[in-house]
Amino acid sequence: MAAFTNADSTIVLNVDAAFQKARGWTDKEIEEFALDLLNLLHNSNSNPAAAIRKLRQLYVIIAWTRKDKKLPAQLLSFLQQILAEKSKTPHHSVRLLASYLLNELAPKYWQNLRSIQNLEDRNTTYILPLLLTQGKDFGYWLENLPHLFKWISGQSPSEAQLLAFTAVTAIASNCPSIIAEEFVQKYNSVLGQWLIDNSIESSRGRSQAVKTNKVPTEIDGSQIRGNFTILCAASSFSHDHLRNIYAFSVIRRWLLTNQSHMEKAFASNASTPTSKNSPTTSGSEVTLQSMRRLSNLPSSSSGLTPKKNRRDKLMDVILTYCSRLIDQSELKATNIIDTTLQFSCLVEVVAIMDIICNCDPSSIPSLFNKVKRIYKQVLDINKGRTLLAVIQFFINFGDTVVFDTKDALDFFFAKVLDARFHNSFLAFDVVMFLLENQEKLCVNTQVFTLYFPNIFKIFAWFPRTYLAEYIQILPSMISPKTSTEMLHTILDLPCVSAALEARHMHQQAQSLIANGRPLPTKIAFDFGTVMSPTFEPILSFVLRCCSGRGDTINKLNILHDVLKKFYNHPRVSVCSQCIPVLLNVFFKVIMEKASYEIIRDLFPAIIERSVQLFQIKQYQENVLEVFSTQILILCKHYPRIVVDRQTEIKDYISHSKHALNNERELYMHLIWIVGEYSSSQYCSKYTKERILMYYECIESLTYEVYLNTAGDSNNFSPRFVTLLMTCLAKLSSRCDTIQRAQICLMKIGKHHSTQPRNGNSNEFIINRANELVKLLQLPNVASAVLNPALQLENQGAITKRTSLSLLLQTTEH
Amino acid sequence: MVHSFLIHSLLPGTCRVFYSITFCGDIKANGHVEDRSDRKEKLLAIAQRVQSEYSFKRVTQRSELFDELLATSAGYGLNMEGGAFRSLRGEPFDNEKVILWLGRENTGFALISDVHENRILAENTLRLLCKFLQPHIKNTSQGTEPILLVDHIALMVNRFLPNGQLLFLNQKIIRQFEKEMEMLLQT
Repeated sequence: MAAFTNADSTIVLNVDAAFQKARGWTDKEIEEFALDLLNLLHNSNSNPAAAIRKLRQLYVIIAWTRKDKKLPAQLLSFLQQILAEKSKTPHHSVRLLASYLLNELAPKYWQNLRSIQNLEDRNTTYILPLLLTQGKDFGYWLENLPHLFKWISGQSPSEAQLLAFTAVTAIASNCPSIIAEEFVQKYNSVLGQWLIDNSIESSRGRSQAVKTNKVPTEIDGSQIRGNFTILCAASSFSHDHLRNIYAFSVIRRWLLTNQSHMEKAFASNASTPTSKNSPTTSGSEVTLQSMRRLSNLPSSSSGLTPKKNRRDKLMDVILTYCSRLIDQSELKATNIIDTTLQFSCLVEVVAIMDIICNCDPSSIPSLFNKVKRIYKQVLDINKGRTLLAVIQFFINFGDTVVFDTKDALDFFFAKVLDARFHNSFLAFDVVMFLLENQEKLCVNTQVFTLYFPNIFKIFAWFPRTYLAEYIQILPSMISPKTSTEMLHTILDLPCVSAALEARHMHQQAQSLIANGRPLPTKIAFDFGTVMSPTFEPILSFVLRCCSGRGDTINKLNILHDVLKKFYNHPRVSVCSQCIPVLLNVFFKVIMEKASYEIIRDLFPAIIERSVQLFQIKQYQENVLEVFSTQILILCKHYPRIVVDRQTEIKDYISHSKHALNNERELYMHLIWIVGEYSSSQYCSKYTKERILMYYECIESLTYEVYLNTAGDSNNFSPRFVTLLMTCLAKLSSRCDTIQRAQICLMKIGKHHSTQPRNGNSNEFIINRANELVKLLQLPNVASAVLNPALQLENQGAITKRTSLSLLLQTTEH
Repeated sequence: MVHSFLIHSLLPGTCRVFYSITFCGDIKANGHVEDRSDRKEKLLAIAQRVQSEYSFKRVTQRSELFDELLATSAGYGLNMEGGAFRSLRGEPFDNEKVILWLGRENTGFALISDVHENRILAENTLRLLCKFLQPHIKNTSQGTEPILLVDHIALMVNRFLPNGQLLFLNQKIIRQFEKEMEMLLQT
């Protein structure tokens, strides 16, 4: 395993030293340094190298600390001057560094840089970022928007124009309310214009200067079939082309920001434009909610007369562009960067169509067909992330066109997830998808309840990253039919981690062999046995895709044995640490929602599993702790379980060895439960015969323990012994076996008084035994003390229970 | 919209943020722009979380077999670990955010963006940035030189993430940008 080496610690030490040094400069030293720098800058026009070095050093001094460092005012104003310098000097690095230095000190009010009205094109790179980081606080944004728009609306493309464009987009995204209606319209028209590129014609126009290879081609090199788009290649890209690329890149964000404007525009045929509720009444709830969260557009931008023609034109342009992109993504790209670009392109197109459908429901049918085309293209294990985006669209709008998303969901959650869950980025997309669509998926589909084994694979592989998210989605995965299976699945998640790890290593080994490399001689985790054919059936159950194939396997111990070698693998041990948290969530849901039948069926599983847990000590302890707490809660709520599950409970209780192992707490709780709830007041079917069965079980257990301690081993804790005796007494008072109980208790008391003094424990037992014997001599009192009446909620009167102390006093002679 | 981009240390120990840029001034609940030290603190919190994810990845995903495989493969960022996670509202930013990260040895690159962002595009942009920035950040993150080539880094960030805007760039245009930047760096 790749461990952290000595070389690594040297690196860390060096980096730490560098940081300490940077932070160690005193204010005076910084001031001197700054003034030095200022001198250098004044004289550096011919040889900027020294100035650049000093600037970099100053940057590190300012940036590598949270504290605010002061720089002398002269330096600051000179830096500001440099940024707006109209001449070609100083060197671009110097300017960049000046810009970054000032940025690092943001937010700060710079009088000199406040207005960009007279800014040179070339200086936009340095000043616009500063504009953005000052925020709207100092009025920078509002004041400069007109100037920015002047740039954007210019006809001739330039770098400055592109930067201004991104600056406006950033401002709009951050603070939509600041962009007035007229600017929105201007932006829309600029956007529309840039998307319809003219450069092909324009480049053909400049006939002599342009060689034929400057004409753009499709992404696979073939002749261009339409307008220029982001999926077109060229040997040299002009600013025209760049405008096109930038325009497409901002569409989605812009549409989201202005969604409520657009909705009003589309709904112009319907109610008044001054209606302030339109964002909540139109479109599908979930996506709207999330989009509204993003766009903090106040809904009071009222009285909009939609400029229908211009807005329509933009939508048409966007949709035409998108259609072209869908066509282009069917071409085969020549390298991986372009192929991935095609995927990200499709995802973007689907997202844009999603927004448009939200605003204009009448366009859903036609856009749905387009998305269906994309769906056919990406129905492939290797295109999982794009497929997921398409599925999101289907879920949002499938109802409107009566489209059944079942096949798509099945394919994705059965096949794609199984093959690609270990891809971090796909896994993240899946988890976000499940979270965002939790309600819809729960109500309309079976994804959660059918595919939870597969969904859990992501958690088993990345336990640390997704714990919070899985706590949220776990409740949706629990269903009446699969509750017991879910309990087993949660408990076996560390095994799933181990099995996945073994499978992964096996695949890596195969890969190595296929490449003709030798396998390393020493492998820390032996995956060979796990992957052997004899183990295959068990493995295939553990790594199954769907639920419903059975609760768990019979041979859990074999599973645990074979996977034991992985128990200290980091992934497995981190996973095991998370299990108690998930279990608590599981039980909480069960208690709140499950019917008695489900809990009754779950109960034996809890008892069974208490002795069949994966052998990680801390994990076993924590799980057993959860179990012992939870059965108390379950039985308190449903005391009938004691009757309905008598066979299983009796079986479990009769083995005294449980009192000595890890599960002792659980065991003792069960005994207490038997004593406490075995009474006809909790369950009418509880006859004396049944209580007698429990009594006999407890009595023989007590004798066994007594005989055991008669020997030399004194392993049973006094707490256990006293608990047992109390239980015995309780049961006896309900099924007329008081005398038998008395005999038993007296024997124990006597025995322990002959034992050598063992601290307080013997005394404790002797006292309790005597107490119980005396109590049982007065059956009526015993009955009152040992069978407390069920406390009713509204009973304000003093009950027998509360006079316990009184009763007990009567037993003292 | 990308909220911030940062480069920070990954090896166990105090997490050091070498470079960070937040593109647009964050606006607090009271309407004012966020303080510098608040901003730094939040970015550090994210960097620390990436550091812990990386450490888990490194310890679990790497094995003797992986190291052997690594020796045979070259290529487009294949030797980088990477992942994604989300930060909940209030921890530490006012809104929910998604963090994508890539890292290797002691250099981690993290992109903090909004939830509804094209994540494939963001991941690709991140890979591009890693590829181009790696030679310029290497000395700083390895501790061999106590300096940061901020201007070089800034040049590339401005090109691929202008004011925080993710761009759909194909391979040819990336090459063109690469040549332009090389020329600028040589002057």
